[in-house]
Amino acid sequence: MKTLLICAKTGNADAFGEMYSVYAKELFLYALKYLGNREDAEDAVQQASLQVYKSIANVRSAESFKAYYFRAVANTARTMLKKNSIHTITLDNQNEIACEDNIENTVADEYSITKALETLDGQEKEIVLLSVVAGLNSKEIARITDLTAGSVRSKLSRSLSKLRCVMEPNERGQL
Amino acid sequence: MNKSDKEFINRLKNEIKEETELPRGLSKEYITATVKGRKQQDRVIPYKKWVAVAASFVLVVAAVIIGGGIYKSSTAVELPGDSDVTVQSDYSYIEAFFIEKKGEMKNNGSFFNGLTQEKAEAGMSMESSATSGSDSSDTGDKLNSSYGTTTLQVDGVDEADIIKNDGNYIYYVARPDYKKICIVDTRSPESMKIVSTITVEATAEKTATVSDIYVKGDKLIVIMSSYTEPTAELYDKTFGNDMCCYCGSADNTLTAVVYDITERANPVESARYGIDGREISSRLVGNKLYLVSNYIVALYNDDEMLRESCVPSYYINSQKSRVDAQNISIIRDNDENTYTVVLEIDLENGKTSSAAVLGGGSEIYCNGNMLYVSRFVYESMDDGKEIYSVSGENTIIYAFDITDGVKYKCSGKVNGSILNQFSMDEYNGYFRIATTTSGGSMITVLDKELKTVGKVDGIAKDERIYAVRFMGDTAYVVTFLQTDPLFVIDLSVPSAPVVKGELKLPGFSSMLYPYSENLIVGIGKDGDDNGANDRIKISLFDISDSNNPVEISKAIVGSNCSSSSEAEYNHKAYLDMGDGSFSIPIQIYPYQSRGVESYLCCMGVKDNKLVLLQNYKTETENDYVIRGTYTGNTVFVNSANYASTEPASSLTAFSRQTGEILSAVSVKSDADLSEKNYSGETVVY
Repeated sequence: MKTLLICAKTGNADAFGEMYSVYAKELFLYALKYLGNREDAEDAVQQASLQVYKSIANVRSAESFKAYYFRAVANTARTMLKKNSIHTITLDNQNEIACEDNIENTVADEYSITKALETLDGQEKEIVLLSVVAGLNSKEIARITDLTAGSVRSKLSRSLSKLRCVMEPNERGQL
Repeated sequence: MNKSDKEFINRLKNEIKEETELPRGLSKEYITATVKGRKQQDRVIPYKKWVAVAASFVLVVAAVIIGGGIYKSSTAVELPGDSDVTVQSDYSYIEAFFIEKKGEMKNNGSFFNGLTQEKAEAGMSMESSATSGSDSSDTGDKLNSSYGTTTLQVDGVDEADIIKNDGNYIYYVARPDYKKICIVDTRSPESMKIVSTITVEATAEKTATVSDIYVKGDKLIVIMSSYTEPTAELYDKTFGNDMCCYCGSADNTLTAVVYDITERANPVESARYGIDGREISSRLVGNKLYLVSNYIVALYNDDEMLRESCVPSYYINSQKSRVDAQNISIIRDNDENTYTVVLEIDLENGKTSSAAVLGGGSEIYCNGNMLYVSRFVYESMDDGKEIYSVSGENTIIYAFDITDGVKYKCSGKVNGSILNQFSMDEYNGYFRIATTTSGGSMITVLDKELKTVGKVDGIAKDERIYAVRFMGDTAYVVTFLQTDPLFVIDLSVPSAPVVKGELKLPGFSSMLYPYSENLIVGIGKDGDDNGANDRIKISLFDISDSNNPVEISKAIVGSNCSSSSEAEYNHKAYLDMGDGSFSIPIQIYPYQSRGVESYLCCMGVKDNKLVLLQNYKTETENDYVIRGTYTGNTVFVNSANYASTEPASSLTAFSRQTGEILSAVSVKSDADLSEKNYSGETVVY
């Protein structure tokens, strides 16, 4: 990874592509869950990738590459979501598109998590997804969301309880 | 993090991981091809140098070389306001421009073209008291004939919303499907009835999503976005061998479907108007409807296909026409492949007018005479910080004159990025815009040609703008980092705006709603000296002394819980109740228990203090209140139950005074969207 970063910094697109491919799925998942549709998620990751490539000189170490990338995706997605504001999340659309792609019928749980995420505000969604999808720690998330690590932890905890309210009503477990 | 949180996170992880394949556009090969040949930036570009670059709007001289020959730009007409913009008499210039520039567009920044800023969601200006009366004591006769309307930024310039009320019927878009519209007869609040539902269909191959609606007399206008996933064949045609371009938005259409609702029980589609591209926004001024979209040109390798796709089209019913060449403005030195497209539709006679400018937009401000579209541009990310530094953000403004058809007028540029539609305003012939820049917040005053005449910058360094409201000669700006400064900026001398007053408070307001001449309602989050908390704070600011704004009353929603409201970021969720009170939807999440509590909270002002008048709560468990409206003494609440296994979208009628439920109607969401019939149930209490 370290070598790849050095190569990518010299303008080697293939090296960059290799680095990208390590996180490609997580980045897309993040954008998909945050934005709620494939079309926008694809745009967000593409835009962010270009950002990251152009500014890769700023990536200090291979270890910070992932957080750096997620930061770019999170910022891009946030901008896009604000643009689309309230009507971005079209659950049924997503479901439909997923089926068109011949993916096994969407799992019921997966559907409910998408619904549950809709109850969170933008920042809460970011924090939950950065933690769950990207696996970033509170310090890394704090840098992306402009919060302190402490408030990331408390917000994460609150957001999780919100999600539970929706996903495990009456402690029945799943919907 | 406690153990149960960790377990829950693991559960979420497992559920989320079940995912679809990466789209083709995100394959390693595609991304590699995308970045190949792009210029990387050096680590640090001095800020000053960058500002100098940003300030010089590049001028490039005509004559574009095409396919071996020289295309003469003698047909080009320069616009008075914009010396670098040309308008053409036919399409050949545009087609040649795209074919010539195709390579460049593919290699430069075309992915940024669709990059848009926050959407138009914030307060309104003072002169636009959105609704009916505002006499604080009168709840009698006057109310009987009044009803709630959408909160607007500019009086007389209607904005689309998911619910509309005409005093006799309420029209709402059912969630979470966004496919159908319910028309509810509310003339007898004790026994409301869904008289009809409209299910909007796009063309066979497209999926459509209803974003908002308008109601104008006996016309219901549905604003809808439709989209087709590009086929593999199309991908191949655009990618070709180099795979280095983008499919564009050839398959996105923004459509307004007009229904004749003379018979409310039997809506009939009367016309359909559309433009290529994705929705930016829409407005309704009198009988004139404006659709604004971003059209990304698919950069086909095949020149014939590119010729076809490089000009945006509009649609009247099924008739497709290109936007007139004379109405397309091409900024010469431009490797953009996104247009901002505006279509004007006269709903009375069906006449249309359209215009496009090459450059993708993001927010719009419209006052009935002018339509301004802001475009977010990102030019540098180097000021020594890691990524996405604010100093790279700039805003270009495109001005369209809409007094007699739509005409592109000119463009201007300011440093920084805007928050939303309320960041822009026009007053006494001056256009004002509030931006967050690397040096703090800034307000710029521009003239009719969008040339800067004055500005005040450096407001609240290192903080970003959370709310803006222009009210005549004054701007109110909320910035936030730890505490909430409310700045009062005097713009009475356009060339010399000054910060007059400042008020620091814990927490922040993310929306400012003018309440009366001297009072502003701020809605945002509570906080302490360490930053923001999680509960809604409703503040009442006294602005009678602009040197010294004062928070005279505040209300915090809930205890031992977090709370939120759509009115924190969407002005359409705030409702003037017509009697001096206002309402916002509220969601409460208790820390200790599960479930959500949601209601419409109605507040008033008494002796300069905020008072809670009534909470209107539906009977459904875990119901989310989305909007409120009222007719006379009846309050209506639109809610949806997302969490249920059978999601439903409801309208509930309450007595305004007692908060007692009078009746409710609801439609079930239907996963099978092809099914058109929904039975409206009426529940009488």
